[in-house]
This record gives sequence, structure tokens and C-alpha cells, in this order.
Amino acid sequence: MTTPDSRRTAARVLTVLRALAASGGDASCAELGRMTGLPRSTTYRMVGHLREAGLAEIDGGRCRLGGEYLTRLGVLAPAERERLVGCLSDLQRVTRHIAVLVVRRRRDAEVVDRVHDRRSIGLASALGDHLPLHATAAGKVLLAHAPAAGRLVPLPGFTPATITSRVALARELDSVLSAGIAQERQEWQSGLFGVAAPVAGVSGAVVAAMAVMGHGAAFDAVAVGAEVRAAARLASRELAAQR
Amino acid sequence: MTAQLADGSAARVLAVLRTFLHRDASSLADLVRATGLPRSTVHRLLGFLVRAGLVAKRDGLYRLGGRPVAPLAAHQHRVLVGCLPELLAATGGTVQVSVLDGQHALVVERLHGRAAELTIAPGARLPAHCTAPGRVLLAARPGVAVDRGEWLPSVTGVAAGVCGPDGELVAALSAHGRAGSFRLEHAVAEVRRVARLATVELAR
Repeated sequence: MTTPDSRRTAARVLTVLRALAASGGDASCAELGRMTGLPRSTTYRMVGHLREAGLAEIDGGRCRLGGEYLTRLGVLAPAERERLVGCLSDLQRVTRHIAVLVVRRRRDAEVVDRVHDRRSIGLASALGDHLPLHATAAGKVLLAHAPAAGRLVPLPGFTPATITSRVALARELDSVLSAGIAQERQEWQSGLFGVAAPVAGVSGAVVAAMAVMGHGAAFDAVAVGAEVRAAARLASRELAAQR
Repeated sequence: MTAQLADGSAARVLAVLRTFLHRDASSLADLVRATGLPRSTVHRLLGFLVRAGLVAKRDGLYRLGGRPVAPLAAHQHRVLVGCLPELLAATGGTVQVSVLDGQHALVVERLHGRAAELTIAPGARLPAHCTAPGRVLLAARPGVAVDRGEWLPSVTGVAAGVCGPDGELVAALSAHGRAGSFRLEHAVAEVRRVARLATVELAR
């Protein structure tokens, strides 16, 4: 009963489920195929299993996660987190700001790991575990790499600098994609700056964002940006090398 | 034939996952009852779910999500986590914040560099009697404890207690490293120093 085939299928259906969760809970089968690196026919079959199990709905070629409880799913495997936290630790050490590893949840971005030193305890508390997608560097990286439907999030204004128009956000996300990096300039909290870059999983699809956040006076976005970009690239290589 | 069997395993692993829909935590026996699958099958499928990070096991119970529970108050948590980079840089080992959980030291947070040989994930439960953090937590006093290969062969550990504002022990800060390369005396001094800093910070 436990054949290599059945083990592989059980692992694959979970891979598709995690990709769907990482996309914000709404993706086309073609997008899921790209995110997981699985052949189209396999992706369709796995999506079929998710529907039969009542975990996902299929509607016009789109696959949606059913049930709010699925926002509680872990997107990164434990072994992946331990690899990534090493990169995050190095990033915090060189930048001396707060370094975070962030994944997509349905309506916001969730901090799964954070490294900060004693000087940044207050700021770490102020940031919390949930970041708005459209108003933080990490959130914008995740939005930029989300399937089209996943970009449709509410755009509340937090500061005068928050991007609240869909057109302006689309332009910003396109520039995030071409630059390979996202900047945050007091768009969420006044005085708060950030830089983020994408972390790709085994299949090459973006599974998380790595970001550094800090208060204005001491935040050198150019220098930090170079470090974040290098750390995220290294992190992606670590994930690709694990299997 | 093979494809059918294989597809059956996808359906079964999702059936186990789906049983978490309406419950917070489940024992293996609960899941066997709810799915009607053999115990060994459920156990094997849970292995898939845990490795994928979709389900976490704690205290013999399974629940959704990889996030371990947060036993410390948010401020205490941030203060103790904020001490980890300094401890990591000073000892060169892997470093942890733990709290007592029955006969175990529950690792609440951890930090290690990219080149770390030894990693201890948050949510890990270390036996209290033979690990440095466990001994500090069992003693319930802000002293220092050392473990020389008693928990894992060739792993050395050092821990010191951190007290809250009322003087009660709230957590242990610890560092672990490979016996050959870990500078034990230096680590003892550093863990003690950083634990004192954390105690001062918590009293503010």
C-alpha cells in the first residue's frame, strides 16, 4: 500500500495545496502548475483531489481555497524555515535592523520569523506579526508575484504615502518585478522604512519575502537593499539545494 | 492500477487534513476514529502533513499550522528574542529561548547562522533532566547549567535563567555547539551576561 508512487502523490497534493495557500488562496490551474513545477495534467488531478476533499472550489478554471481555517495552514515546511532563518540571522547581523521572513496569508502578510536585537525590541513590538500587503515592502513583493486575482486586496490608507489606487499599485508592483526588490517609504507607519526581495522555492515560484525594516534616520535603503537582495538570492539557492 | 492506488493516497492524506476543519487539536486515536483509516496509515499520513509544515505535533496532539504556541507574554517574548543575536555572535553556537513545559524545555525561539551544523527548531521539546536549559528551568533559579554531551553525543550546552520583574524565573537563554569547537568557559560567561541583561530589560 505504501508504494513510492503513493508517497509521491500524497506529497504532490500537499505541494499544490501549499502553493494555493501561498498564492493567497486563489489561482488558476496553469498558475499552480507554474508555481509547483508539476505537469499540467498532474496539477489538474491534484486540484481535483482538493475539490473532492472539500478543501478547494473550482470555478471557471480558477481554484479557490475553501474555508477561513485554511489561513492557518503553514506555508513553509519546518526544514525550509530552519534554512531560511540562518540567512535571516546573517542579514540582521550585517544590517543591524529588524530582518523578517514573511509569507502570504489571504488578506495580509504574516511574519513567520523575525530577527531583531535589543535596540529594536520596541520597533519589533510595534510591527507585530501581520503586515499590510499593499503598504509594506515585503507585502508588495508577495503581491507582485501573486497570480492576478491575488493582487485584488483592499487598499486602506495608513499615511499620506500609502498607495491607495489600483492603477498606482499596479505600476508599483510592475516596478517591483523589474527591480527584483521592493521599497517601503513610510507607507504603513510614519518614520518606518523597509526593503524586501523575493525568496523562491524549489520550483522557482516565490514562496516568501525577506525584508529589513527600520526607522528613518538610521536607514540606508541603498546599502540595505543590496544586502536584502543578496540574502534573498542565497535563501532561494538554499531552498533549491535541499532536495 | 498503480495510479489508482497513488490517487487513493492523495485522497487519504486530505481526509486526515480535513478532520482538522472543526477541531482545534486531535490525538492519533481521534483521527483514526474520524477517518476510519487504519492507525498505521493515519500515522504515516500525519508524517507527510508534519513534514510539509501543514500540521504540527505537540503534547501528543496534532493541530493545524506550523506555529508553535506562544507561552510568553508578547513583551517578554520580544525582549528575550532581542537577546539572541548578541548571544549568537558571542558564543558562535546556536541559541535558544526556552520555557518549562512539564518534564521538557519547550524551545520558544531560536537563532543560528547559515553555516550551523546543529539546528533546534521552535516547538522542539528538550528533555529537562539532561539539557542545560531544562536543568535551569527545573531548578527555577537564575543560575547557570551545563550539559557536556549528556543530551546528544558531542553537543555541549550552556543555559542561564532569566527572571521577570517579580523575581520569578520566566525562561532560559541557552547556547549549544559542537564539543570540539565550542568554547565552554567563554560561553558560560556570555550566556550569564546576556541573561542578566535580559532580566534587567524585563524589569524596566
